[in-house]
Amino acid sequence: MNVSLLSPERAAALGEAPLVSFRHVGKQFRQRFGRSVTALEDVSFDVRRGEIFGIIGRSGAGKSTLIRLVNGLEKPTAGHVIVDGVDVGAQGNAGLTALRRRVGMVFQGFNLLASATVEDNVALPLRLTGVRLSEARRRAREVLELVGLADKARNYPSRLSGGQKQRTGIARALVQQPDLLLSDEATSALDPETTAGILALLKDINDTLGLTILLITHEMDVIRRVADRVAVLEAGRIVEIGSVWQVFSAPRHATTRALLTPSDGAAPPLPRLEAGQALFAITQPAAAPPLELAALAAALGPGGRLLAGPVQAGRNATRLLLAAADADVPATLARLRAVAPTAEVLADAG
Amino acid sequence: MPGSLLALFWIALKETAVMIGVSSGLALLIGLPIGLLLVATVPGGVLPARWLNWPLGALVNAIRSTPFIILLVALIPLTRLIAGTSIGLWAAVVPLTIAAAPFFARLAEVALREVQPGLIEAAKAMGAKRWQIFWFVLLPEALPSLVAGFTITLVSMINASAMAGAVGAGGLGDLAMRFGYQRFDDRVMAEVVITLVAIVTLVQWLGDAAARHFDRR
Repeated sequence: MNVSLLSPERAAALGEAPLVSFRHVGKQFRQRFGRSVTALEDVSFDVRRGEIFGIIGRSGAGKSTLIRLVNGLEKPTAGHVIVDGVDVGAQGNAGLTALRRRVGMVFQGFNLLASATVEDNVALPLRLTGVRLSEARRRAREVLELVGLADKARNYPSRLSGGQKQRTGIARALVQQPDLLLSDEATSALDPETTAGILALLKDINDTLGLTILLITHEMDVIRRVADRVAVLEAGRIVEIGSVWQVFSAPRHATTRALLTPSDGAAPPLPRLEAGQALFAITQPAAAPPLELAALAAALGPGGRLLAGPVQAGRNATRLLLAAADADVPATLARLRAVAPTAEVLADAG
Repeated sequence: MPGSLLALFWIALKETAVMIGVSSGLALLIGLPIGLLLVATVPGGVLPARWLNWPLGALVNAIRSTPFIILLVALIPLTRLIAGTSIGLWAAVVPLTIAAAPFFARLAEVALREVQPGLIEAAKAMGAKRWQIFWFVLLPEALPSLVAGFTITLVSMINASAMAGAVGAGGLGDLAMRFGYQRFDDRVMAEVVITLVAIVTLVQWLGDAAARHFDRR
Protein backbone atom coordinates (compact mmCIF):
# COMPACT_ATOMS: atom_id res chain seq x y z
CA MET A 1 0.00 0.00 0.00
CA ASN A 2 1.36 3.36 -0.93
CA VAL A 3 0.34 6.24 1.27
CA SER A 4 2.01 9.52 0.58
CA LEU A 5 2.07 12.24 3.16
CA LEU A 6 1.59 15.13 0.78
CA SER A 7 1.58 15.76 -2.93
CA PRO A 8 4.94 17.28 -3.96
CA GLU A 9 3.24 20.54 -5.05
CA ARG A 10 1.49 20.92 -1.73
CA ALA A 11 4.64 20.09 0.22
CA ALA A 12 6.51 22.73 -1.76
CA ALA A 13 3.77 25.29 -1.17
CA LEU A 14 3.77 24.60 2.55
CA GLY A 15 7.53 24.53 2.75
CA GLU A 16 8.72 23.34 6.11
CA ALA A 17 5.57 24.45 7.91
CA PRO A 18 4.90 22.20 10.92
CA LEU A 19 1.97 19.82 10.66
CA VAL A 20 0.63 20.70 14.10
CA SER A 21 1.22 23.98 15.82
CA PHE A 22 0.11 24.95 19.32
CA ARG A 23 0.19 28.73 19.85
CA HIS A 24 -0.24 29.85 23.47
CA VAL A 25 -3.02 27.35 23.95
CA GLY A 26 -5.04 27.40 27.14
CA LYS A 27 -7.97 25.28 28.18
CA GLN A 28 -10.23 25.85 31.13
CA PHE A 29 -13.12 23.62 32.10
CA ARG A 30 -16.05 25.41 33.63
CA GLN A 31 -17.51 23.71 36.64
CA ARG A 32 -20.57 24.33 38.71
CA PHE A 33 -20.96 27.47 40.84
CA GLY A 34 -18.86 29.52 38.40
CA ARG A 35 -15.64 27.77 39.31
CA SER A 36 -13.25 26.62 36.62
CA VAL A 37 -10.30 24.29 36.37
CA THR A 38 -7.28 25.06 34.23
CA ALA A 39 -6.22 21.99 32.25
CA LEU A 40 -3.68 23.68 29.98
CA GLU A 41 -1.92 27.02 30.17
CA ASP A 42 0.14 28.82 27.52
CA VAL A 43 1.14 25.67 25.67
CA SER A 44 3.20 26.28 22.52
CA PHE A 45 5.02 23.68 20.44
CA ASP A 46 5.25 22.37 16.89
CA VAL A 47 5.01 18.86 15.52
CA ARG A 48 7.13 18.57 12.37
CA ARG A 49 6.05 16.58 9.38
CA GLY A 50 7.14 12.96 9.50
CA GLU A 51 8.28 12.89 13.11
CA ILE A 52 7.04 10.99 16.12
CA PHE A 53 6.36 13.56 18.80
CA GLY A 54 5.75 12.30 22.31
CA ILE A 55 4.10 14.13 25.16
CA ILE A 56 4.77 12.68 28.57
CA GLY A 57 3.32 13.62 31.91
CA ARG A 58 1.77 12.17 34.98
CA SER A 59 -1.95 11.54 35.10
CA GLY A 60 -3.82 14.80 35.47
CA ALA A 61 -1.10 16.80 33.74
CA GLY A 62 -3.44 17.66 30.84
CA LYS A 63 -2.23 15.16 28.22
CA SER A 64 -5.67 13.88 27.25
CA THR A 65 -7.04 17.39 26.92
CA LEU A 66 -4.06 18.39 24.81
CA ILE A 67 -4.40 15.57 22.29
CA ARG A 68 -8.18 16.13 22.04
CA LEU A 69 -7.56 19.72 21.00
CA VAL A 70 -5.78 18.50 17.86
CA ASN A 71 -8.87 16.90 16.31
CA GLY A 72 -11.36 19.27 17.89
CA LEU A 73 -12.88 16.87 20.43
CA GLU A 74 -12.15 19.78 22.78
CA LYS A 75 -11.93 23.47 21.90
CA PRO A 76 -9.23 25.73 23.34
CA THR A 77 -10.33 28.61 25.56
CA ALA A 78 -7.19 30.56 24.65
CA GLY A 79 -4.71 30.53 21.79
CA HIS A 80 -4.79 28.52 18.57
CA VAL A 81 -4.26 24.94 17.51
CA ILE A 82 -3.25 24.85 13.85
CA VAL A 83 -3.28 21.54 11.98
CA ASP A 84 -1.90 21.74 8.44
CA GLY A 85 -2.82 25.40 8.21
CA VAL A 86 -6.32 24.91 9.65
CA ASP A 87 -7.28 26.64 12.91
CA VAL A 88 -9.07 23.79 14.68
CA GLY A 89 -10.85 25.92 17.29
CA ALA A 90 -12.42 28.09 14.59
CA GLN A 91 -13.98 25.21 12.65
CA GLY A 92 -17.69 24.54 12.48
CA ASN A 93 -19.16 21.07 12.11
CA ALA A 94 -18.29 20.70 8.42
CA GLY A 95 -14.72 21.90 8.92
CA LEU A 96 -14.22 19.57 11.88
CA THR A 97 -15.57 16.59 9.95
CA ALA A 98 -13.19 17.31 7.08
CA LEU A 99 -10.26 17.70 9.49
CA ARG A 100 -11.04 14.55 11.44
CA ARG A 101 -11.09 12.50 8.27
CA ARG A 102 -7.42 13.39 7.80
CA VAL A 103 -6.42 12.69 11.41
CA GLY A 104 -6.52 9.13 12.73
CA MET A 105 -6.77 8.40 16.42
CA VAL A 106 -6.05 5.34 18.56
CA PHE A 107 -7.23 4.97 22.13
CA GLN A 108 -6.10 3.34 25.34
CA GLY A 109 -9.41 1.46 25.58
CA PHE A 110 -9.37 0.52 21.84
CA ASN A 111 -13.00 1.68 21.41
CA LEU A 112 -13.94 -1.00 18.89
CA LEU A 113 -17.54 -1.85 18.06
CA ALA A 114 -18.35 -5.16 19.75
CA SER A 115 -21.14 -5.69 17.22
CA ALA A 116 -18.90 -5.52 14.14
CA THR A 117 -16.19 -7.83 12.82
CA VAL A 118 -12.57 -6.68 12.73
CA GLU A 119 -12.81 -5.79 9.03
CA ASP A 120 -16.08 -3.92 9.53
CA ASN A 121 -14.55 -1.97 12.42
CA VAL A 122 -11.67 -0.98 10.18
CA ALA A 123 -14.04 -0.22 7.30
CA LEU A 124 -16.22 2.06 9.45
CA PRO A 125 -14.40 5.37 8.73
CA LEU A 126 -14.75 4.67 5.00
CA ARG A 127 -18.43 3.80 5.38
CA LEU A 128 -18.94 7.18 7.05
CA THR A 129 -17.66 8.89 3.91
CA GLY A 130 -20.09 6.92 1.75
CA VAL A 131 -17.75 4.20 0.42
CA ARG A 132 -19.68 1.06 -0.60
CA LEU A 133 -19.48 -1.84 1.88
CA SER A 134 -17.64 -4.21 -0.48
CA GLU A 135 -15.06 -1.58 -1.42
CA ALA A 136 -14.65 -0.46 2.21
CA ARG A 137 -14.06 -4.07 3.28
CA ARG A 138 -11.52 -4.61 0.52
CA ARG A 139 -9.52 -1.57 1.65
CA ALA A 140 -9.94 -2.59 5.30
CA ARG A 141 -8.36 -5.97 4.54
CA GLU A 142 -5.42 -4.23 2.85
CA VAL A 143 -4.73 -2.24 6.00
CA LEU A 144 -5.24 -5.32 8.19
CA GLU A 145 -2.53 -6.98 6.11
CA LEU A 146 -0.25 -4.05 6.95
CA VAL A 147 -0.80 -4.41 10.71
CA GLY A 148 -0.48 -8.20 10.57
CA LEU A 149 -4.10 -9.09 11.29
CA ALA A 150 -5.32 -10.32 7.90
CA ASP A 151 -6.28 -13.71 9.33
CA LYS A 152 -8.57 -12.14 11.95
CA ALA A 153 -10.66 -10.04 9.52
CA ARG A 154 -13.87 -11.98 10.11
CA ASN A 155 -13.49 -12.31 13.90
CA TYR A 156 -15.34 -10.20 16.43
CA PRO A 157 -13.21 -8.03 18.78
CA SER A 158 -14.27 -10.08 21.82
CA ARG A 159 -12.19 -12.92 20.38
CA LEU A 160 -9.00 -10.86 20.12
CA SER A 161 -6.13 -10.31 22.55
CA GLY A 162 -5.34 -6.79 23.74
CA GLY A 163 -2.53 -6.39 21.25
CA GLN A 164 -4.74 -7.59 18.39
CA LYS A 165 -7.47 -5.16 19.46
CA GLN A 166 -5.00 -2.29 19.35
CA ARG A 167 -3.74 -3.41 15.93
CA THR A 168 -7.36 -3.27 14.79
CA GLY A 169 -7.61 0.23 16.28
CA ILE A 170 -4.46 1.28 14.43
CA ALA A 171 -5.76 -0.22 11.18
CA ARG A 172 -9.00 1.72 11.64
CA ALA A 173 -7.04 4.93 12.17
CA LEU A 174 -4.96 4.29 9.03
CA VAL A 175 -7.70 3.25 6.63
CA GLN A 176 -8.45 6.82 5.55
CA GLN A 177 -4.76 7.39 4.81
CA PRO A 178 -4.46 10.21 7.33
CA ASP A 179 -1.74 12.86 7.46
CA LEU A 180 -1.49 12.58 11.23
CA LEU A 181 -1.97 9.82 13.78
CA LEU A 182 -2.95 10.66 17.35
CA SER A 183 -2.16 8.03 19.94
CA ASP A 184 -3.90 8.42 23.29
CA GLU A 185 -2.02 6.10 25.68
CA ALA A 186 -2.30 3.38 23.04
CA THR A 187 -0.13 0.91 24.93
CA SER A 188 -1.08 1.72 28.52
CA ALA A 189 -3.56 -1.15 28.77
CA LEU A 190 -1.11 -3.70 27.33
CA ASP A 191 1.53 -5.92 28.89
CA PRO A 192 5.21 -5.05 28.22
CA GLU A 193 5.72 -7.57 25.44
CA THR A 194 2.56 -6.55 23.57
CA THR A 195 3.53 -2.90 24.12
CA ALA A 196 6.85 -3.55 22.36
CA GLY A 197 5.01 -5.04 19.38
CA ILE A 198 2.57 -2.13 19.09
CA LEU A 199 5.37 0.44 19.41
CA ALA A 200 7.37 -1.38 16.74
CA LEU A 201 4.29 -1.21 14.51
CA LEU A 202 3.90 2.55 15.10
CA LYS A 203 7.59 3.08 14.34
CA ASP A 204 7.25 0.99 11.21
CA ILE A 205 4.21 2.96 10.02
CA ASN A 206 6.12 6.17 10.65
CA ASP A 207 9.10 4.88 8.65
CA THR A 208 7.29 3.29 5.72
CA LEU A 209 4.32 5.62 5.29
CA GLY A 210 6.03 8.78 6.50
CA LEU A 211 3.06 9.31 8.80
CA THR A 212 3.44 11.97 11.49
CA ILE A 213 2.55 10.63 14.94
CA LEU A 214 1.62 12.62 18.04
CA LEU A 215 1.43 10.37 21.07
CA ILE A 216 0.75 10.91 24.72
CA THR A 217 1.90 8.56 27.43
CA HIS A 218 2.88 8.41 31.07
CA GLU A 219 5.56 5.82 30.36
CA MET A 220 9.10 7.01 29.69
CA ASP A 221 9.85 3.73 27.98
CA VAL A 222 7.32 4.47 25.23
CA ILE A 223 9.03 7.79 24.49
CA ARG A 224 12.45 6.17 24.58
CA ARG A 225 11.47 3.47 22.11
CA VAL A 226 9.68 5.45 19.42
CA ALA A 227 9.69 9.22 19.82
CA ASP A 228 11.99 11.61 17.98
CA ARG A 229 11.14 14.58 20.15
CA VAL A 230 9.42 14.87 23.49
CA ALA A 231 7.61 17.50 25.53
CA VAL A 232 7.20 17.06 29.28
CA LEU A 233 3.84 18.28 30.56
CA GLU A 234 3.33 19.17 34.20
CA ALA A 235 0.20 20.77 35.64
CA GLY A 236 -0.95 22.00 32.23
CA ARG A 237 2.37 23.55 31.18
CA ILE A 238 5.22 22.30 29.05
CA VAL A 239 8.25 22.27 31.35
CA GLU A 240 10.76 20.75 28.99
CA ILE A 241 10.92 20.08 25.26
CA GLY A 242 13.54 18.79 22.86
CA SER A 243 14.93 15.73 21.14
CA VAL A 244 14.48 12.58 23.16
CA TRP A 245 18.20 12.27 23.38
CA GLN A 246 18.70 15.80 24.76
CA VAL A 247 15.87 15.61 27.25
CA PHE A 248 16.81 12.17 28.48
CA SER A 249 20.54 12.69 28.70
CA ALA A 250 20.35 16.07 30.41
CA PRO A 251 16.95 16.51 32.05
CA ARG A 252 16.61 20.05 33.36
CA HIS A 253 13.27 19.89 35.12
CA ALA A 254 12.51 17.97 38.30
CA THR A 255 9.46 16.34 36.70
CA THR A 256 11.55 14.97 33.87
CA ARG A 257 14.09 13.60 36.31
CA ALA A 258 11.33 11.99 38.34
CA LEU A 259 9.84 10.40 35.23
CA LEU A 260 13.29 9.19 34.23
CA THR A 261 14.06 7.47 37.52
CA PRO A 262 14.07 3.85 36.51
CA SER A 263 11.48 1.70 38.17
CA ASP A 264 11.90 -2.07 38.31
CA GLY A 265 12.63 -3.55 34.93
CA ALA A 266 12.85 -0.25 33.07
CA ALA A 267 15.92 0.52 31.03
CA PRO A 268 18.44 2.88 32.67
CA PRO A 269 18.51 6.51 31.56
CA LEU A 270 20.58 7.23 28.49
CA PRO A 271 24.20 8.31 29.02
CA ARG A 272 25.11 11.94 28.52
CA LEU A 273 26.19 13.05 25.07
CA GLU A 274 29.20 15.33 24.80
CA ALA A 275 29.46 18.30 22.46
CA GLY A 276 30.41 17.28 18.93
CA GLN A 277 29.34 13.73 19.44
CA ALA A 278 26.70 11.97 17.39
CA LEU A 279 24.73 9.04 18.72
CA PHE A 280 24.02 5.90 16.75
CA ALA A 281 21.98 2.83 17.58
CA ILE A 282 22.24 -0.67 16.16
CA THR A 283 19.34 -3.02 16.68
CA GLN A 284 20.64 -6.55 16.48
CA PRO A 285 18.06 -9.31 15.88
CA ALA A 286 18.83 -12.52 17.78
CA ALA A 287 19.15 -14.40 14.50
CA ALA A 288 21.63 -11.95 12.94
CA PRO A 289 25.31 -12.89 12.59
CA PRO A 290 27.55 -11.50 15.34
CA LEU A 291 29.00 -8.05 14.76
CA GLU A 292 32.68 -7.66 14.13
CA LEU A 293 34.08 -5.28 16.76
CA ALA A 294 37.04 -4.14 14.71
CA ALA A 295 34.78 -3.26 11.81
CA LEU A 296 32.49 -1.31 14.12
CA ALA A 297 35.40 0.58 15.62
CA ALA A 298 36.73 1.41 12.18
CA ALA A 299 33.32 2.64 11.08
CA LEU A 300 33.02 4.91 14.10
CA GLY A 301 36.48 6.32 13.57
CA PRO A 302 38.76 7.82 16.23
CA GLY A 303 36.91 8.82 19.40
CA GLY A 304 34.21 6.22 18.87
CA ARG A 305 32.59 5.06 22.08
CA LEU A 306 30.35 2.25 23.16
CA LEU A 307 27.81 4.07 25.34
CA ALA A 308 25.46 1.30 26.33
CA GLY A 309 24.65 -2.18 25.27
CA PRO A 310 23.52 -4.61 24.64
CA VAL A 311 20.14 -3.35 25.81
CA GLN A 312 17.12 -5.58 25.40
CA ALA A 313 14.95 -4.14 22.60
CA GLY A 314 11.83 -6.23 22.26
CA ARG A 315 11.66 -9.97 22.51
CA ASN A 316 14.17 -11.00 19.91
CA ALA A 317 16.53 -8.10 19.54
CA THR A 318 19.18 -6.23 21.46
CA ARG A 319 20.41 -2.71 20.98
CA LEU A 320 23.84 -1.09 21.04
CA LEU A 321 24.30 2.63 21.57
CA LEU A 322 27.45 4.06 20.03
CA ALA A 323 28.89 7.56 19.95
CA ALA A 324 31.19 8.97 17.31
CA ALA A 325 33.26 12.13 17.53
CA ASP A 326 33.07 12.50 13.78
CA ALA A 327 31.14 15.57 12.64
CA ASP A 328 30.24 13.96 9.31
CA VAL A 329 27.19 12.06 10.55
CA PRO A 330 25.90 10.76 7.17
CA ALA A 331 29.31 9.33 6.27
CA THR A 332 29.67 7.62 9.62
CA LEU A 333 26.17 6.22 9.29
CA ALA A 334 26.97 4.85 5.84
CA ARG A 335 30.10 3.14 7.18
CA LEU A 336 28.15 1.72 10.12
CA ARG A 337 25.40 0.42 7.87
CA ALA A 338 27.98 -1.52 5.89
CA VAL A 339 28.79 -3.38 9.10
CA ALA A 340 25.33 -3.46 10.66
CA PRO A 341 22.39 -2.71 8.34
CA THR A 342 20.12 -1.63 11.20
CA ALA A 343 22.33 1.29 12.24
CA GLU A 344 20.48 4.58 12.72
CA VAL A 345 21.19 8.06 13.98
CA LEU A 346 19.55 8.81 17.32
CA ALA A 347 20.90 12.26 18.01
CA ASP A 348 23.45 14.69 16.80
CA ALA A 349 24.81 17.00 19.46
CA GLY A 350 27.20 18.74 17.07
CA MET B 1 -64.65 -27.13 23.14
CA PRO B 2 -67.77 -26.82 20.90
CA GLY B 3 -67.19 -25.87 17.28
CA SER B 4 -68.75 -22.42 17.59
CA LEU B 5 -66.60 -21.55 20.58
CA LEU B 6 -63.52 -22.84 18.78
CA ALA B 7 -64.34 -20.49 15.90
CA LEU B 8 -64.70 -17.61 18.40
CA PHE B 9 -61.40 -18.63 19.96
CA TRP B 10 -59.69 -18.58 16.59
CA ILE B 11 -61.14 -15.15 15.75
CA ALA B 12 -60.04 -13.81 19.15
CA LEU B 13 -56.52 -15.13 18.62
CA LYS B 14 -56.32 -13.39 15.26
CA GLU B 15 -57.67 -10.15 16.75
CA THR B 16 -55.02 -10.22 19.47
CA ALA B 17 -52.33 -10.96 16.90
CA VAL B 18 -53.37 -8.03 14.69
CA MET B 19 -53.71 -5.64 17.65
CA ILE B 20 -50.30 -6.53 19.05
CA GLY B 21 -48.65 -6.79 15.66
CA VAL B 22 -49.75 -3.37 14.42
CA SER B 23 -49.41 -1.46 17.66
CA SER B 24 -46.05 -3.00 18.59
CA GLY B 25 -44.70 -2.05 15.16
CA LEU B 26 -45.95 1.51 15.64
CA ALA B 27 -44.63 1.59 19.22
CA LEU B 28 -41.19 0.59 17.90
CA LEU B 29 -41.27 3.30 15.24
CA ILE B 30 -42.33 5.98 17.74
CA GLY B 31 -40.54 4.75 20.87
CA LEU B 32 -37.08 4.26 19.38
CA PRO B 33 -36.67 7.86 18.17
CA ILE B 34 -38.01 9.10 21.53
CA GLY B 35 -35.46 6.88 23.30
CA LEU B 36 -32.71 8.26 21.04
CA LEU B 37 -33.81 11.82 21.79
CA LEU B 38 -33.89 11.14 25.54
CA VAL B 39 -30.28 9.92 25.39
CA ALA B 40 -29.00 12.51 22.94
CA THR B 41 -30.52 15.64 24.46
CA VAL B 42 -29.15 15.25 28.00
CA PRO B 43 -26.50 17.84 28.92
CA GLY B 44 -23.22 16.47 27.57
CA GLY B 45 -25.03 14.20 25.09
CA VAL B 46 -24.56 14.06 21.34
CA LEU B 47 -27.27 16.71 20.79
CA PRO B 48 -27.63 18.57 24.12
CA ALA B 49 -31.03 20.30 24.45
CA ARG B 50 -32.37 20.59 27.97
CA TRP B 51 -35.51 22.40 26.71
CA LEU B 52 -36.49 19.22 24.85
CA ASN B 53 -35.17 16.62 27.27
CA TRP B 54 -37.19 17.70 30.26
CA PRO B 55 -40.69 17.95 28.69
CA LEU B 56 -40.12 14.75 26.71
CA GLY B 57 -39.18 12.88 29.88
CA ALA B 58 -42.19 14.33 31.70
CA LEU B 59 -44.57 13.29 28.90
CA VAL B 60 -43.15 9.77 28.87
CA ASN B 61 -43.58 9.52 32.64
CA ALA B 62 -47.12 10.90 32.52
CA ILE B 63 -48.29 8.34 29.96
CA ARG B 64 -46.48 5.51 31.71
CA SER B 65 -48.03 6.27 35.08
CA THR B 66 -51.61 6.37 33.74
CA PRO B 67 -53.36 2.96 34.10
CA PHE B 68 -54.10 1.51 30.66
CA ILE B 69 -57.83 1.17 31.25
CA ILE B 70 -58.01 4.93 32.01
CA LEU B 71 -55.85 5.75 29.00
CA LEU B 72 -58.13 3.63 26.83
CA VAL B 73 -61.15 5.75 27.75
CA ALA B 74 -59.41 9.11 28.07
CA LEU B 75 -57.96 8.81 24.58
CA ILE B 76 -61.31 8.17 22.88
CA PRO B 77 -61.49 11.64 21.25
CA LEU B 78 -57.96 11.23 19.88
CA THR B 79 -58.72 7.68 18.79
CA ARG B 80 -61.78 8.89 16.89
CA LEU B 81 -59.63 11.51 15.20
CA ILE B 82 -56.96 9.00 14.12
CA ALA B 83 -58.87 5.75 13.54
CA GLY B 84 -62.17 7.38 12.57
CA THR B 85 -64.01 5.31 15.19
CA SER B 86 -63.93 4.80 18.93
CA ILE B 87 -64.94 1.15 18.91
CA GLY B 88 -63.50 -2.01 17.43
CA LEU B 89 -60.06 -3.41 16.74
CA TRP B 90 -58.52 -0.29 15.22
CA ALA B 91 -59.82 1.83 18.06
CA ALA B 92 -57.71 -0.30 20.44
CA VAL B 93 -54.58 0.02 18.33
CA VAL B 94 -54.33 3.76 19.00
CA PRO B 95 -54.27 3.65 22.85
CA LEU B 96 -52.16 0.46 22.84
CA THR B 97 -49.56 2.21 20.69
CA ILE B 98 -49.65 5.35 22.80
CA ALA B 99 -49.19 3.32 25.98
CA ALA B 100 -46.43 1.08 24.59
CA ALA B 101 -44.33 3.73 22.82
CA PRO B 102 -43.17 5.56 25.99
CA PHE B 103 -42.64 2.22 27.73
CA PHE B 104 -40.34 1.06 24.95
CA ALA B 105 -38.76 4.54 24.75
CA ARG B 106 -37.53 4.22 28.35
CA LEU B 107 -36.17 0.72 27.73
CA ALA B 108 -34.48 1.94 24.53
CA GLU B 109 -33.04 4.90 26.44
CA VAL B 110 -31.43 2.57 28.95
CA ALA B 111 -30.12 0.30 26.19
CA LEU B 112 -28.60 3.22 24.25
CA ARG B 113 -27.10 4.83 27.34
CA GLU B 114 -25.23 1.61 28.10
CA VAL B 115 -23.15 2.01 24.92
CA GLN B 116 -19.55 2.86 25.91
CA PRO B 117 -18.91 6.63 25.70
CA GLY B 118 -15.51 5.82 24.20
CA LEU B 119 -17.21 4.46 21.09
CA ILE B 120 -19.01 7.75 20.55
CA GLU B 121 -15.75 9.61 21.01
CA ALA B 122 -14.04 7.29 18.51
CA ALA B 123 -16.84 7.87 16.01
CA LYS B 124 -16.54 11.65 16.45
CA ALA B 125 -12.78 11.39 15.97
CA MET B 126 -13.41 9.57 12.67
CA GLY B 127 -15.50 12.49 11.47
CA ALA B 128 -18.92 10.88 12.01
CA LYS B 129 -21.92 13.18 11.76
CA ARG B 130 -24.57 12.97 14.45
CA TRP B 131 -26.99 10.77 12.53
CA GLN B 132 -24.04 8.53 11.62
CA ILE B 133 -23.19 8.09 15.30
CA PHE B 134 -26.76 6.87 15.84
CA TRP B 135 -26.88 4.67 12.78
CA PHE B 136 -23.39 3.17 12.73
CA VAL B 137 -22.53 3.09 16.44
CA LEU B 138 -25.41 3.46 18.91
CA LEU B 139 -28.00 1.29 17.16
CA PRO B 140 -25.79 -1.72 16.30
CA GLU B 141 -24.07 -1.67 19.69
CA ALA B 142 -27.36 -1.43 21.60
CA LEU B 143 -29.19 -3.94 19.38
CA PRO B 144 -29.14 -6.92 21.80
CA SER B 145 -30.52 -4.74 24.63
CA LEU B 146 -33.03 -3.12 22.27
CA VAL B 147 -34.32 -6.55 21.22
CA ALA B 148 -34.60 -7.59 24.88
CA GLY B 149 -36.47 -4.36 25.66
CA PHE B 150 -38.82 -4.85 22.73
CA THR B 151 -39.58 -8.37 23.97
CA ILE B 152 -40.57 -6.98 27.38
CA THR B 153 -42.72 -4.38 25.60
CA LEU B 154 -44.48 -7.07 23.56
CA VAL B 155 -45.28 -9.14 26.64
CA SER B 156 -46.70 -6.18 28.53
CA MET B 157 -48.77 -5.28 25.44
CA ILE B 158 -50.25 -8.77 25.30
CA ASN B 159 -51.20 -8.17 28.91
CA ALA B 160 -52.71 -4.75 28.22
CA SER B 161 -54.60 -5.96 25.14
CA ALA B 162 -56.85 -8.00 27.45
CA MET B 163 -58.53 -4.70 28.34
CA ALA B 164 -59.18 -3.81 24.72
CA GLY B 165 -62.54 -5.51 25.00
CA ALA B 166 -63.69 -2.38 26.82
CA VAL B 167 -63.80 -0.61 23.44
CA GLY B 168 -65.14 -3.66 21.62
CA ALA B 169 -61.83 -4.64 20.09
CA GLY B 170 -62.20 -8.31 20.89
CA GLY B 171 -59.16 -10.48 21.35
CA LEU B 172 -58.33 -13.28 23.76
CA GLY B 173 -58.69 -11.13 26.86
CA ASP B 174 -62.18 -10.09 25.79
CA LEU B 175 -63.11 -13.75 25.23
CA ALA B 176 -61.93 -14.67 28.69
CA MET B 177 -63.90 -11.78 30.21
CA ARG B 178 -67.18 -12.50 28.41
CA PHE B 179 -67.23 -16.29 28.41
CA GLY B 180 -64.93 -17.19 31.26
CA TYR B 181 -65.70 -14.48 33.78
CA GLN B 182 -69.17 -13.22 33.03
CA ARG B 183 -70.60 -16.67 32.11
CA PHE B 184 -68.61 -18.51 34.81
CA ASP B 185 -67.16 -20.86 32.20
CA ASP B 186 -63.96 -21.90 33.94
CA ARG B 187 -62.91 -24.05 31.05
CA VAL B 188 -62.82 -21.18 28.53
CA MET B 189 -61.04 -19.08 31.12
CA ALA B 190 -58.41 -21.76 31.63
CA GLU B 191 -57.96 -22.32 27.88
CA VAL B 192 -57.48 -18.62 27.22
CA VAL B 193 -55.02 -18.25 30.07
CA ILE B 194 -53.03 -21.29 28.92
CA THR B 195 -52.99 -19.91 25.38
CA LEU B 196 -51.74 -16.53 26.66
CA VAL B 197 -49.03 -18.26 28.72
CA ALA B 198 -47.99 -20.18 25.61
CA ILE B 199 -47.88 -17.02 23.48
CA VAL B 200 -45.88 -15.09 26.08
CA THR B 201 -43.47 -18.01 26.50
CA LEU B 202 -42.99 -18.22 22.75
CA VAL B 203 -42.46 -14.44 22.39
CA GLN B 204 -39.97 -14.42 25.28
CA TRP B 205 -38.11 -17.41 23.86
CA LEU B 206 -37.90 -15.87 20.38
CA GLY B 207 -36.84 -12.52 21.86
CA ASP B 208 -34.09 -14.11 23.96
CA ALA B 209 -32.85 -16.08 20.96
CA ALA B 210 -32.75 -12.91 18.81
CA ALA B 211 -30.95 -10.92 21.52
CA ARG B 212 -28.36 -13.72 21.86
CA HIS B 213 -27.92 -13.83 18.11
CA PHE B 214 -27.04 -10.13 17.97
CA ASP B 215 -24.82 -10.17 21.07
CA ARG B 216 -21.12 -10.34 20.12
CA ARG B 217 -19.70 -9.14 23.40
